[in-house]
Amino acid sequence: MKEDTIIVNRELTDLDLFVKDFLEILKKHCDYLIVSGFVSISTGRIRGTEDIDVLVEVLPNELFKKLLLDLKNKGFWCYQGDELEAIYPYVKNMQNIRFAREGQMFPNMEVIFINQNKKAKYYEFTHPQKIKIKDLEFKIPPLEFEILYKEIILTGKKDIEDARHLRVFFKDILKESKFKECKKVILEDKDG
Amino acid sequence: MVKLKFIPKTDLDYIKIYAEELGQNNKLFSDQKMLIDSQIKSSTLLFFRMFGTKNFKKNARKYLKERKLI
Repeated sequence: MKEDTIIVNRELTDLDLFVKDFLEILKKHCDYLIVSGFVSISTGRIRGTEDIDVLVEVLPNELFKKLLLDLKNKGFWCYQGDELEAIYPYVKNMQNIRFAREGQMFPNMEVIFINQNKKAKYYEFTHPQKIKIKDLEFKIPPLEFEILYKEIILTGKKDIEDARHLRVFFKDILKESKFKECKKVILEDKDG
Repeated sequence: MVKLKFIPKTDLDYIKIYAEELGQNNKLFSDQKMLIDSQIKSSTLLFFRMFGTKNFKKNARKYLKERKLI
């Protein structure tokens, strides 16, 4: 840890470079949070992945139009369509959309739209943790939240394994008080 | 050589051992980089062969729709 940023000392992978290129564009238009598998993979978990999940607040039509144009101009394509008219209904209805580099299917960024009604997701979105790997800096959920979300909500084999990786690798910086706070948010959202 | 503190029995045991070792020896990250970079290269080649370049998006969307992925 350096100040409030987690520093991971390693070389960038092709997956990191893909994320870096995408976030450089996304950050110009809106806030974001990288969640799920890439959080574990970027901190050393060895497993394959096809997509990187990123939370974004639902964007108004005009803002999304600018983001889409920027992504297209920088060599990304959207699985769901080429034109705003085809893609925006997904945004409005909070359905996920995916972007990959032109001429590629994988890796892809899965954009997950959220709003304040999604209590747990909105909590992690508004309580980000910074992480830095070389010149790639990005925001992830609090580690305690990420671990518990995988253990309580997702619960698949790879999620439980990701959570174990995070618990062991970050054992020196995880805080019990933060676990309690995050567990409360997750359970309220789950039961509510 | 990794000195084991216990005999691993499950996948979670191996993950624990690996994560502990990673904290001590960050050269292990280079193995991870090889795996990830190789996965992306293979995937790019596979879909290039499947969909070509001229109509890549059209062919890719047809493939995704047939599998109800979009």
